[in-house]
Amino acid sequence: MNMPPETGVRAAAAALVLIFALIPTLGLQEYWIYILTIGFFYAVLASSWSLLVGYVGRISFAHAAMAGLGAYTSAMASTRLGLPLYASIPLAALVVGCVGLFLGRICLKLHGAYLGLTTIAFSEIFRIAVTAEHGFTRGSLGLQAPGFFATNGRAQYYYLFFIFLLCVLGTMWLLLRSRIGLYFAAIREDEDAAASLGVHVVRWKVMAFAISSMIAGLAGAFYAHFVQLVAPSMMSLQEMGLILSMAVIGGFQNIFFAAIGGVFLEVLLELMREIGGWRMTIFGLAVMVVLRYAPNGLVGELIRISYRHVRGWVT
Amino acid sequence: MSQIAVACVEKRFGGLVALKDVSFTVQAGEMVGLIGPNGSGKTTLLNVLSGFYQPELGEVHYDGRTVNGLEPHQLALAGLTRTFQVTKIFRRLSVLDNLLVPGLTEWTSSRKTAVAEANRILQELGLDHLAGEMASNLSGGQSKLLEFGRVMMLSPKVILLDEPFGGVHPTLKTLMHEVVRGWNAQDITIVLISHDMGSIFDLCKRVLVLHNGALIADGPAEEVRRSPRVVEAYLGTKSVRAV
Repeated sequence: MNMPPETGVRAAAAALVLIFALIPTLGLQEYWIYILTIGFFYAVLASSWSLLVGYVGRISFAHAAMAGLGAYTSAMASTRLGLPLYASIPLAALVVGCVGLFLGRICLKLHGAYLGLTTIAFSEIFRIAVTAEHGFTRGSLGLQAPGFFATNGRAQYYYLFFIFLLCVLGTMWLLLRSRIGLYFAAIREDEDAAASLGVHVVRWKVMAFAISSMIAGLAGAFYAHFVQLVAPSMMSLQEMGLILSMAVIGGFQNIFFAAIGGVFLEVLLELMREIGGWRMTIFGLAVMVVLRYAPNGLVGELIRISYRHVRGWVT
Repeated sequence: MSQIAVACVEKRFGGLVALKDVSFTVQAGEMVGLIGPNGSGKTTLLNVLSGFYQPELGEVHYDGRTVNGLEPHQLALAGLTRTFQVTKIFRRLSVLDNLLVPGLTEWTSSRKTAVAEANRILQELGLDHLAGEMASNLSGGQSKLLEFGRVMMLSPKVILLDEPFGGVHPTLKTLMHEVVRGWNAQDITIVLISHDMGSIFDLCKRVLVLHNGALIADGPAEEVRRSPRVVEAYLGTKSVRAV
């Protein structure tokens, strides 16, 4: 049978979605259901980071901080202001989107190392401020947040995060297939050429930052009401490094590859728990190797090799 | 009414004066050549006209209004567009998508119409068989044609061409000449920078000459070709004396 490669990829993606949808019914330990739920959270972060880096060509190390900001905003809005979660979570997304808009605007003229360093500075300022502000955020003790459900059923949270991930990926996919996606790609390829053809480069660079941040904030808000305790450590540079590793190892030039990287590395992180801090060292090395030898990430490389073999069989 | 009017424009980069007191006008539907030795300020002038650089002094008028301070995308949407000396195609996009970027910059434009227009232009340029190909796979000449196709998508009133014939095969160059003549026949104003004097004198009736940032000649092509100042600027004083 001569099946086009795209059909094969779509079939594999559908199979993956089906497998993840069935996992809680397969008798897997609750602990692993919990780990996969966290994996979905990281998948949202890694894919929204790849939206900015892979599709628009703008680097940011403030993604973990944006997730933290979303988590704190929703936790505080629900505990201090008494807002229901269906109001506090959109509020968190809106606040983080606005902060992303502001950060995107001040970073507009910055590129490469300067842009990266500015986002690191923002991230650290925010983390330190949250840690220091005991009265408001309870500092490193962490802030409690109400849960989504009355009972802490793992499967309920699993499906909530799974559907959330699918919705985020679907929305980003539609965005990237629209004319806005075309503007993003044009800006990534050449800003001057894009501008000379009528693309409002400033607007779309800032919007990309805001959209990517808003998704991170939304993920952070969901996370807060899942783990029910928000701490400044979720905004650390180590967390940012983890998100970066997930996106790069999965493949940061494709939101779906990055998402798979998120789930895969979270599971791997747990499997390698016994080696403790060495896990991050290994991930760091893996990032370097992948960037050098498989710039499309492991998922991209896997698909490329599969194509080659399928073509070999057909011919 | 002149389509482009440049009045006493000065552009500096630190201590370097790249353009000094440059003034000229270009009428609607005119095709003007812009020549000068390397470093004379030709591309800087094009960058000023297309909004990439803002002049320190002087004014640029387009279609009767001052456009100082306008961004390149605003000028492009107003019908003033350009190509680049070093081809700037979107390498990781398909040939068709390269054309759809300018085709979809207006929010009112429909994708269906843009795709139809892009396919028509690709056919006109002989690139229709490459529509789905990644732009990175195109040859140098095909990339130049793709740049031509992209500016056509904007239905421009003015096209600024920066060295469009550099390194292009003679057969392809002939095709590009035809395309440029076709634009001009549709009353599109063209400012053409080229080191290829054959192309300049073949296509343009009027030529502007820049030297060290100053406009040293502006007139009919034949007159400019014989101007001692222009010959001196290109060959140097000693060479001219020897000739």
